[in-house]
Amino acid sequence: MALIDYRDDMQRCSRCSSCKFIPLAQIKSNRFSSGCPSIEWGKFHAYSASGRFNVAFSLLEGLIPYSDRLLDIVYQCPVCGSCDVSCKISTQLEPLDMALELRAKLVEDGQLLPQHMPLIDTLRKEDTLFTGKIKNNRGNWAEGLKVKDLTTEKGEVLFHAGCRYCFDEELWGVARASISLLKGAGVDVGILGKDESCCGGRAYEMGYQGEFIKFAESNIEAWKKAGVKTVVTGCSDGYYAFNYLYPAKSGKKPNVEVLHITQFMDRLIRAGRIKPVNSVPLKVTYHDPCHLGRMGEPYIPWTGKRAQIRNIINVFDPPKPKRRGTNGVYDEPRNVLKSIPDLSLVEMERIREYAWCCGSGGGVKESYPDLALWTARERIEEAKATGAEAIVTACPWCERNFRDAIAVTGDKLQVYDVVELLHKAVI
Amino acid sequence: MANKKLELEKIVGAKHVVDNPKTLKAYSEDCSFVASRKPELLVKPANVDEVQRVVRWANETSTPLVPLSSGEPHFRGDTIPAVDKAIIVDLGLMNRIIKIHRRNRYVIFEPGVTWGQLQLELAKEGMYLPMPLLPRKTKSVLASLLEREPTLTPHHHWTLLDPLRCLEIIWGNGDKLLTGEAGWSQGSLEEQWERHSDQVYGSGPGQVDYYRFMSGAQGTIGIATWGSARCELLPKAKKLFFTPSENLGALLDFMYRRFRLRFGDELLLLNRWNLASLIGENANTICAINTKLPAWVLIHTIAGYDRLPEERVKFQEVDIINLAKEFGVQLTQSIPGLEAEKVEKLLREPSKEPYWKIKNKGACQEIFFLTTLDKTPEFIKIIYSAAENAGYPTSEIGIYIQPQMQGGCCHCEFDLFYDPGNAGDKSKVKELFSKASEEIESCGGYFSRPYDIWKNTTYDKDNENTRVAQKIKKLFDPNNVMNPNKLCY
Amino acid sequence: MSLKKEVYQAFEDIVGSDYISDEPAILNSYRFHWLAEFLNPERKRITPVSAEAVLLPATVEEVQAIVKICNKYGVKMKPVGGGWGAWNAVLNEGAVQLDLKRMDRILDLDEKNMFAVVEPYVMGAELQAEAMKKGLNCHLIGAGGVCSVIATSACFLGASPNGMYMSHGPDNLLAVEWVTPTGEVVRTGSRGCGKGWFCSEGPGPSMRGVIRGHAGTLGSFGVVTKIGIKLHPWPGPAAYPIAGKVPAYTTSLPGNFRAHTVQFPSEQAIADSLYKIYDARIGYVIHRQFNFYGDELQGAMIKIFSDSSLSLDNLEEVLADAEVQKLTQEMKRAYQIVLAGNSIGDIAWQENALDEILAETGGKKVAALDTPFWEQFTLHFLLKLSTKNTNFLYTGSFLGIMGPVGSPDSIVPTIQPGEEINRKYMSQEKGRIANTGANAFMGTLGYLGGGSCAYQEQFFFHDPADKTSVEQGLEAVFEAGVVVAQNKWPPSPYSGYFLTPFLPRPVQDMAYGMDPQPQAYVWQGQIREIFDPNNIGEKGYTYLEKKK
Repeated sequence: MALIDYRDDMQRCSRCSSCKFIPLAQIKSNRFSSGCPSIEWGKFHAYSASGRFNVAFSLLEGLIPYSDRLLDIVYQCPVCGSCDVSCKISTQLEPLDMALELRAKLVEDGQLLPQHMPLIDTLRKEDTLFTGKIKNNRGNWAEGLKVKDLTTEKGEVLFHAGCRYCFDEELWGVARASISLLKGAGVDVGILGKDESCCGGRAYEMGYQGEFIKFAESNIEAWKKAGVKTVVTGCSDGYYAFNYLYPAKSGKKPNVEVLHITQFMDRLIRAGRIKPVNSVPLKVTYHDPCHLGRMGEPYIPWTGKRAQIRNIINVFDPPKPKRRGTNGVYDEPRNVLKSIPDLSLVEMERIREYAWCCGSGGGVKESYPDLALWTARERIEEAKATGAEAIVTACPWCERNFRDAIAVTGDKLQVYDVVELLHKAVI
Repeated sequence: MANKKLELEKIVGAKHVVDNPKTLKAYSEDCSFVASRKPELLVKPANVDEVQRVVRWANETSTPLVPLSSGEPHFRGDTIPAVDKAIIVDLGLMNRIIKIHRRNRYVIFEPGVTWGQLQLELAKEGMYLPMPLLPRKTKSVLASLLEREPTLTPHHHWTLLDPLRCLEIIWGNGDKLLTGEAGWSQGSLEEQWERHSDQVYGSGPGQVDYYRFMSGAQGTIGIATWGSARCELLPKAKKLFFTPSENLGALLDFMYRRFRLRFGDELLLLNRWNLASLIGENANTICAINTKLPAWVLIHTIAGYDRLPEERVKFQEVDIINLAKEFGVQLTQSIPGLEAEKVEKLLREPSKEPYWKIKNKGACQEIFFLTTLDKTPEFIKIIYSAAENAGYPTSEIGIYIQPQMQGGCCHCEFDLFYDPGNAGDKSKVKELFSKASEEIESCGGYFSRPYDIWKNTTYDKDNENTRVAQKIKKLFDPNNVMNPNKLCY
Repeated sequence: MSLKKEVYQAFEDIVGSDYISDEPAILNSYRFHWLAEFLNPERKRITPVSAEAVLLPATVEEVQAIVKICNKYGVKMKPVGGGWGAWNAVLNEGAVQLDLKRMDRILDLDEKNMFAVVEPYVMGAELQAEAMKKGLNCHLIGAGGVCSVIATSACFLGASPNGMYMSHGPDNLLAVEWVTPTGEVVRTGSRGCGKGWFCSEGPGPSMRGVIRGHAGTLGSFGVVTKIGIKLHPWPGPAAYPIAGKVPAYTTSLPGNFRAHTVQFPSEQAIADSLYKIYDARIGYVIHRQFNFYGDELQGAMIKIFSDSSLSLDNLEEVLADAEVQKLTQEMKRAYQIVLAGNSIGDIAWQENALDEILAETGGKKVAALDTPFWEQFTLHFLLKLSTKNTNFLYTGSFLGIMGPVGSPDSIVPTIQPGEEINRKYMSQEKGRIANTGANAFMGTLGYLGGGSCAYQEQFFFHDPADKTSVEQGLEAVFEAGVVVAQNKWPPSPYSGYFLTPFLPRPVQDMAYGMDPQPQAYVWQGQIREIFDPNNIGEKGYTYLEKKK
């Protein structure tokens, strides 16, 4: 659906402000009640999902011009989907989709955020958004791992590392641990190495839908050529792109099973193929990555139309599957953690479909680093409030942003990926 | 003055205008330390029209009015004129109970209705109105509610104005207003009743809470010519308990938890001297009873009403007993010198004559203020210290702690009994009253009902609120005829 | 018209450049409100005018300074907290909006004395969560937990489903900190004398009466920046248990909580039951809630709400289910009641009392909803009020047309006329109002603490994106207004209190002129002149021009 298709819904937003908070029923304190980093940072109502409905309507009606402020309003948002979950507790509006279409419209109209330019430029040249990085180095993280090269061989499972793991050397250990665990469990896994491309998900979120489609088509083709049945990734953004964006927004459905590494690990542990035996005595709290959790629901195809019943009640016909965070990936990462001897898991106040974002999504990490770090600091505070020694996540973007935030604050909280801890417990 | 008398006689009738010096002297002073001042005349209107015409006349002639509706003795100085040439407007003749509505449990009554009169009529419908602690026989119910006197039943007390609801007001400028539901419903009261419109919601009409301006006003804004109030049901089954203690602190946690149950009706805390003063017939018996009583007695009840009353009392008793055990306090229906049944009866009725506060020594100076229950021990320390300094026996200070608003705050009262015929005693109590009030105020006691000297410190502390009050006063009493100089205007 | 540079600078000097904006994208986001469609001649959900600037103050000192600047330069201002409803918007040219989002702290929570002190942007759900940790609860307005505690108790009406146990919003108001329209800071009650927040009245006559009456001033009369708010016992777990999957959250409260939907043979029987409930002193929440979705759809709607695999799209198929049809019939003329006991004995007694009352009034518990699943669903719905924006699910908007605040007996005669108007606008003849069943009365059945008063209003659902629908909604409102006036009923809160202050001046004068005591509105106007001599208050204050 294009932005104009949401025009009526823009008027149906009642400005209840639920989008600013986690689902009301889940609020456990005044301190950690907010769900939306954008409104907490920007403060003006325009920075909320409701505000963006208003801004979009105003734009379509010609009531407001494009401006730097408008770009800020649209892009100072990690598109984490918290507003979407909260809004849809009670309505059938689509704040997240509308916000993404608003971005697409800006790009279509040539209203480009200057901070995005170098990213898109690099994406076009080097198949990654990481400025200063080159495609040729993309596979360096796997040096010495002796893992199958799926550009020349066939395999069952393709491990997609993702741009963050490929180019953030400090995090290579997680990707390497993933391969080590998969191989150790006897999985026929391979990688594309330097021929791996960006998933395109971030480009989609930034409004560059055309770029995204190119990457979707390219990746699906590469998987087909490699003959893999399963694509597994440790990057939640990548998971979201493959699992949802590709079938829903590119017009192309990948003919593979898409799994996040934690889902795969959970399966392997339950099948007895991975045995966590070493003690890891640590008190941890788990951060649900937005793109794995509430946005990690599977895509259900649907064709239909809007309809009105009983005079004027607005519905979709036939009933349209709703993405409300119900079936996101929440339990598998927790199962993996719970399988680790002597690891104790305590939960933060905001978890699962109502988790607070790490702050790095939607282009925010690159374009508004202060917002990204502030958002991460909020999460660190929440983690500390549990008494945990470490915050554990399942996404390199979350991990990077937490690490960066702690580097600034000097907090003693440790940061891990689920796979890292499992690796400690297994080998 | 002769003119004034004649003009007023045209309004209320000759019989109801009094210039008898002996009568006027009685209105010029009371049991407080407020300086006496003789009024010029006394008028007794019989209905709202007469009240309105008197007030209009007062505006035309710039004559100060001091309204009152209770009979003697008065205790707080609010009915003594604060300026010369004032006219007392005694509303005692307006003593109709206008309506009792059992279904929606409210009563509408005029200012001259007393507690005894009202409770008797309500009882016929199986109801009662939450009442203060043994009000004097002559006390006006409406005055009591308007003064925000604490009632014995905190569980039914949602706001400090409860159970007062609607009012018919004649403002100081002579205009009339019905407040709340009475005011926003069309037609006369009778026509409203036809449509089942009840006078139980007191706020408004509109965006102003007019009845709040009358509350605690000491007659300085207008005259209420009737009020409505929400009634409670007389229990069909009831148990009254004493929880005695030598140590006040030991009771507080139990009380806080007790509030949360909202069982029963009465809940009040008295020290031995005040309890003895309530029970004893005279000075001798008060002293005798006093020696037998524990230092503190929490009096509280559980009750069942029309529906499954015994069953209600039964489970409440189990729960109360468990609660008492949890907090290590006693629960009993008799203590030496006291039986529950006797106290139950006592609390349901106004004071017998002589009024309990004067039957011991002849006079009593009250110090009362609002605070939270946890702070009451601090204030008790203050009054004891002040009493010691003044040479007043601390053992004879009556203390009454009445939780209000379901336990959210409490009325804390110190009663200083003295012989008014003994100049030394009187002077001692006056000084103690003054010094202790000052100390209490500076340590956080809130004199929400600023009688006498309390108005000075209270209004001085609160300049902005004072200015607001002055503006409201100017609007509704532009010629300042209503009890001038009594508060902050 | 835009703010003069010096005025903008004066505001900026107070809040800092980060917290003021006059940029169109920002300003326009403050024009979208529920019911704006009724105020906009084009019937779009956007207010006819825009604020000149939006400011975000952080402290009462900043608010005070802003108000003084407004007075100095004759600039009107409208504060907004949660901001749900067109009364929050700037509706005059040349005005500024004060967004109080940064004032969001709970400053104190006194467990023993059962009160809290809050700033304007503390929402009910937040206060409730903090209170429950201490065995306490707070009143929640009917619109639910995403409403400002200050707005609901000091500035609005304040009808609460839990009114029977906690009374309505204004009865929970303790001391108030109020920045007057001229920029003085008035602290009422105990706070004014520096004694804490626990008492709302006095000293002497209670000037809290200036700040709000039966209705609040809807942000048109200064700014309330802090309040003490009463808290009430919560005999439940400190950590409120959530069960179920999003969006179909439910709870698993222990056995001292019960919830029932109770059905009656007539509206009069409902009224009869309420008086008996008041006398019995039972009921933690008494609310006619599910009927809001329409008496023909309520069964299907609660089914949808309780099942995370369903949505509104499934309405027709759910309605076709025979069980749902049976349930819908059984739910007609029903309300919901939550009982909370301090002990097993307590809850058992309350249940017995309710059973007796039902037997005496011809009522009965709806058996299909008397299962553990549905009890927990109902408990969660009414205790947390976390899904009250489902009011907007059907069409994006709704409004009430008829139904006073008053005794249960006084409400009964208003129900059938309300149904008739609804029926007319749901029929083919009109057809742009959602057909939910003609009876969509909802409201709190224990408006004041301990009972005595109730409030039910007839609701209808219009679509703000459909001009005809909005027009028909307005027609229904006026038609109902005529019926109310003819029958001499009090005005309904939604149409009467929330809409009228924003209609053209002649319409307001007519409405208040028809009030039984127009002088009360003249005095309101005089109070306004006294406290707001420079007229900086935005629309929302109701008054008649001074005349005798």
